[in-house]
Amino acid sequence: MKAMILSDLTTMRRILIQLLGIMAAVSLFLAVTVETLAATAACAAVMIPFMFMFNVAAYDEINKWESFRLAMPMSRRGVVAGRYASLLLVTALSLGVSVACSFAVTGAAALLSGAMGQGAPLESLLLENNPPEMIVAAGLMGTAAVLVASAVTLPLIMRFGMSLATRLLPLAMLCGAGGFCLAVDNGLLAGLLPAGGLESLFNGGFAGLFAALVVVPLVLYAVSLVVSLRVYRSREL
Amino acid sequence: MYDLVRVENLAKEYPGFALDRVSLSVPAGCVTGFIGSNGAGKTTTIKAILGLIRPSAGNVALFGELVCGFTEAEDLSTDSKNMANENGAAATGGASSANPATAPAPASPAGPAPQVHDAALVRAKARIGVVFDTCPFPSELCVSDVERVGRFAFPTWERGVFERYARQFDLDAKKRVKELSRGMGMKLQLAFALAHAPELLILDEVTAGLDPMARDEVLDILRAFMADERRGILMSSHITSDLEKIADYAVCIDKGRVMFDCAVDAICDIAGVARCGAEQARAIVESGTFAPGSLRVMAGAYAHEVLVPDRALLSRRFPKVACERVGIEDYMRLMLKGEAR
Repeated sequence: MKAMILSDLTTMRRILIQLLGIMAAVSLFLAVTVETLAATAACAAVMIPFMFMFNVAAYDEINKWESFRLAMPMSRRGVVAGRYASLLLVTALSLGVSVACSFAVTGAAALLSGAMGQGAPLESLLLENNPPEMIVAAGLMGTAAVLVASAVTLPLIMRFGMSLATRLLPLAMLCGAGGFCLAVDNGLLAGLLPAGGLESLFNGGFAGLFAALVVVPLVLYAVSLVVSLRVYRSREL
Repeated sequence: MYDLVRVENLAKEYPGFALDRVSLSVPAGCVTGFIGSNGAGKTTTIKAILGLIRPSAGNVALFGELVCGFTEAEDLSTDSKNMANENGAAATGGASSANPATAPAPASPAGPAPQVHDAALVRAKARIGVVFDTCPFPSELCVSDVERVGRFAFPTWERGVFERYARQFDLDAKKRVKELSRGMGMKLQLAFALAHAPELLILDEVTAGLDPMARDEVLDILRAFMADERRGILMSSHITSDLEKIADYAVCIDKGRVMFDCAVDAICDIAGVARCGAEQARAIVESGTFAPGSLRVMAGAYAHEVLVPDRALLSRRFPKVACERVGIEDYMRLMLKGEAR
């Protein structure tokens, strides 16, 4: 698994550096135009892991890299677990970078506002208008979205490869969302959901938010890993 | 002789194509050439050996350890489903002679699929260097990144060896994979394959796309690799002249079946091809000099070609018939297209 993680990170090293630069530019643009750092944090947390996942999966299919890699001393379990771990690592790092980036923007805004005096155009980006909890929560929301989407996408990629998986993904999303709505409407998830409905998670303070944005996506991600381990076992390369 | 690779009765079905109980081996100290036309099943066999596909029947053992198939205990439970080998190979003491193709198949294609033994496979793969027909490394990696990937993956990786080969092949450490020509890409793969002190090389069209000088260079490296007689090479190639220079055994596969499996010396030094008229060809066939089915006859526009297993014997019996040395390419052509007599 370690070899796979390091292989993925080595493969994506240049692209990750490029993505960091792009993310910084996009974050700054969003912060200035939307006038809130919540969008900055969420966008940055989402962008890098998504691009990582699709790029690394695309490389797998070029010139039989996936086959060659499996000809190295790696097990199929190691390949799948390594891919999940590398994406999780990148997602966690992106969350950290996105939050740090947001604080850097608000710091820069404070410096500029101080220099320009009252009524400066970047006042909306100051910390008093963007509390740290909001920035972290926005970053966590982005991370949660990435984990849930990856949990759906990765088993498809592991089973069918990137090309076919991207074609099947909309169908899988539709089926998943439809199934979830039907299950909620028919009370099938009553035991799993909080008594006050999904909204109560966000009204229940940090614990509810943490559960909604961290625990649930991680559980889904772990379930997805188990599915991927099964489907990749019989994958013909 | 210890077999580094032993494949027995390997089967795999695809729509429109099937591997039909393929058996071959790579004894230690030997180079086994794996030849056949496009789509004959060479790459499928190599993929099964490396665990990239799961065969529907058969055994694969690497370094004496079963990596795919049934253990003896499992064999007993599936014994009733075993089938006798119906391999049409004209085996003449070839690479798989140490493991006769007449051994019962471990499981029939209709029986349960053989098990892949993951831990054994991973252990074995650490001792194998693999070269594919195209450079597989992601295009954005530079040569030094490729070295880093190898360092992470192989427990016995030797950075100095990789760098030595990279220098020898003029591979600039900062050059990206996408900037390498096909030949340089193959050399990068070779450097990668050799840098972890492998005991076995599995080469799929390693010399394809290389100019004659580069091919000779590669063959020299392979000869140097084989200086240690505990090592071996399984080398699939269309360039049969390369195999004549380096291979000890030739295994030919066609439409998923092994057509012949024999020592290269038996082809190049002993066998021969007689080019003669129809009457002489008939006389050779009907003389009883050679065992029935051991000759291949092909009628051409100007002459008949008769492939004989022993050209010296033919010359003694038919001194007026010109019988020449046969290369692997002609041998393969006559074995696949000639009429068995």
